[in-house]
Amino acid sequence: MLSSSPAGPISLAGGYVRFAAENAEALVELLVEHSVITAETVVIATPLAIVLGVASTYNDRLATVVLWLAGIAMTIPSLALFGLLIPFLGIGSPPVVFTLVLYSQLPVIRNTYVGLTGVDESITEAGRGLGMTRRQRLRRIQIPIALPVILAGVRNAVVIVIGVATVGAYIGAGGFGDLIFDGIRQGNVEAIVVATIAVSVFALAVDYGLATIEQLLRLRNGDDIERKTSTQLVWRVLA
Amino acid sequence: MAGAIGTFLAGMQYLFSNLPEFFDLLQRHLALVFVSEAAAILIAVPLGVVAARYDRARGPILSVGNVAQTVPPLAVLALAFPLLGLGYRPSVVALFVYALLPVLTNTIAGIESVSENTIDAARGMGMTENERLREIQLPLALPVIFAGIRTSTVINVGTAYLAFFIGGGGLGSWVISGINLFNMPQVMAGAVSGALLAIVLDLGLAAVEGRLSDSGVEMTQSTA
Amino acid sequence: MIEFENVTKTYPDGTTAIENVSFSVEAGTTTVLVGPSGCGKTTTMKLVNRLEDPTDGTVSVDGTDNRELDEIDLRRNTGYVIQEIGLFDHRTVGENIATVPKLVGWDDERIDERVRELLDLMDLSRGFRDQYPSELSGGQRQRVGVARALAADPDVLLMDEPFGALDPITRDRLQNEFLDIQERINTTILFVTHDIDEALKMGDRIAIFDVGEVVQYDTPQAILDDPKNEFVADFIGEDRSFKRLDITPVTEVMGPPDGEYAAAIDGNTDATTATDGGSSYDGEALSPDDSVKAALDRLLRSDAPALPVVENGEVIGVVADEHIRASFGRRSDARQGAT
Ligand SMILES: Nc1ncnc2c1ncn2[C@@H]1O[C@H](COP(=O)(O)OP(=O)(O)OP(=O)(O)O)[C@@H](O)[C@H]1O
Ligand SMILES: [Mg+2]
Repeated sequence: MLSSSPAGPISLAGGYVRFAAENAEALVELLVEHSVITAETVVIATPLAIVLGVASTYNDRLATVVLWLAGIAMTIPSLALFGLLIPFLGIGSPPVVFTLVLYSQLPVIRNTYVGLTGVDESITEAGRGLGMTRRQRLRRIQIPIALPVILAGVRNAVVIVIGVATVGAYIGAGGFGDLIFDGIRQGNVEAIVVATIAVSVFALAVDYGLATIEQLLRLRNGDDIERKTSTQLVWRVLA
Repeated sequence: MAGAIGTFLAGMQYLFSNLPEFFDLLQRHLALVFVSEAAAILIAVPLGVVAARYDRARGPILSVGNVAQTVPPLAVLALAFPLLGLGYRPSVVALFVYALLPVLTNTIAGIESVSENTIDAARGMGMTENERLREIQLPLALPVIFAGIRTSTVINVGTAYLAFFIGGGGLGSWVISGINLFNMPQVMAGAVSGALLAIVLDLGLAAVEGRLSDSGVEMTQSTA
Repeated sequence: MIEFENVTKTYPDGTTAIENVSFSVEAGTTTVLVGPSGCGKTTTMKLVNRLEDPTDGTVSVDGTDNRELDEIDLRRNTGYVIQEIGLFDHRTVGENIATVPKLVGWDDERIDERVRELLDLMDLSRGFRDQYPSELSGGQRQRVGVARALAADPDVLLMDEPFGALDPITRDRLQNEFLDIQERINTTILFVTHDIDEALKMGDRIAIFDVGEVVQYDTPQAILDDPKNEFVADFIGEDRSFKRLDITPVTEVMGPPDGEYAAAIDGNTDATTATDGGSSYDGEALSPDDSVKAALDRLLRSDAPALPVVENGEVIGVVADEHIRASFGRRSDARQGAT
């Protein structure tokens, strides 16, 4: 699937660039696969975790149990979890997405919980004074204020997901991990380096993008923050 | 459900009929984790202290650290291969690199969380910068630093599975060759034991951490 | 002795906390800095032990510019009670108090004895010694803070609102306690408060701060008699006559025990022994330590036109309405007159 040229010590960097150029099409395909797995995970994991987080705010005992379980889930090594799931879910993306959803729970549940319970008492009191029901208060007051915190949790989760998804390639889920494993198997240094850089840049870019959205949400809430240049830009365009 | 229990039992049976090999793998796994973690602590804590002390160093140290943490663990291990070759040592180095950041950020956060008032009081009493660090800031930061060590160690147990890909050995060996050969009992035996190891380490370290933040004193007294 | 000479302090962010401030604290006396929040009191204090250095002017301790002194030595010889208390949460009360003695290398026995002494002095039971700051009330913590500052017998004591978190009764007791201690240990004290009553009570001299500058620096008596401007007058409040009565000892206003009052006193004195607070006695005699305010209070409640001032069983003077009134015609320094 990949073409590679012998790595001369003379111009290593040139070698990487050439490798990337020669395999541009394959790289784009891997990027798409990686993005799809990440997106699938986020679409399933985020609503689930938010629901669990919101439910936790209603009951302290539930909160303790949910957070504890989510914490335990995170300690299980990813490769071990893939292995455990193969008998039930087969190989390919199902066991990987399942694992990734599990891993995303703790950051998002925790931030949802913290974000919602951290809303200033007096503000929710004011909402009650205005005759809002509990659900209205949640939707109109607490969630908007907690949103940036929840998004920070999602961002945290996404970075983990992108990293673990790389390992998922080993059981056939695709993505940049494919190229890394190929590289290791074939002793192809260029493949390893290019794949590593590609997946890292991908993770950093997504992280940066989400951080920008998080800042925009904070700005909308009227928080005073040190703005990133990207935030500055978008904020100006929107204004 | 019956299938799950059956697979689990088959896994346990595999483990017990291959105990000597299991202990070999476990020992190798623990060696990977503890050696890399110890090195990470030895480097990250002093580096964190420097970063907390010199404002100018903090920015660069933290941004490099944060970028490094975004790099997937498999990528870090894979990179060790072209740079250092295959085997145990390159694996330890890669795990060490990946274990650094949680300890580093928590060391900085812990030291900076010591309140300005406490620092002022210590300065006002004529403590030198070193005395302040040793007797006030580090002891007060200890629970936070330890939380970082805990996170880092647990992640390390999981990452060490990947070391098998670059010839580092460990429990990854059963899981990975099990997947290759579709030998599910072997996968199960390797996976369950590692998961248990991670959970036990996490709970054990959590207990120590709890004692540190309750009465962070007895320990610091004896180290001071 | 501490001397501020045209001292200005501007923080790196551009805030000028104090500007061109000059005053001096005589050795063995107490100077109180008083003023509204944010006027630069804490900053002034930090300039003494070099937690901050002046942007302009000099702060000298015993005649030496403190920037020429070793800052670590300077601080170890300067007790500092910080405004926010700043106890070390990871150390017991005993260990907190022992901080400076340990730093300067006292032996364990001496430290142990000193800690016990200070716990007693601050009215903290010995059981507190092994507790952690988080287990104490705000007032108890504040007392530990004061004990910690006193621990190594510093030559200079900086106290930033040391009694702020105490209830009025404990505060009053500790203030009195402190006045006693001060007489014994003869330390040079710089004391910050925003409470003018505390300032009048504790200070040999008072520096009244407005935003960033000293508006008036004088004895309590002089400040009450002659507030320099509107700001000072406002700061003292409406009842400055009462405040003055409160800080003036009866010995300052009493008349001779003869003439028209001789009869009133006679026959009273034999049965009378003065008590310092007058609390256990029915109030027919005053002690020399009593304030004029206390004298007036007793006069108002008693049938007698005058009360004797008794020292060691001997009548040394007499106080009647006219003496009190007359004293307001004069402008004198009561403390200097009395001692
Ligand atoms: N480290 C600092 N950096 C910048 N500005 C400061 C700093 N410390 C104090 N200031 C400013 O200097 C001014 C004086 O502060 P200072 O703490 O000396 O006031 P204060 O009289 O002690 O007030 P309070 O009675 O509230 O304790 C204030 O405007 C304050 O905001
Ligand atoms: Mg202050």
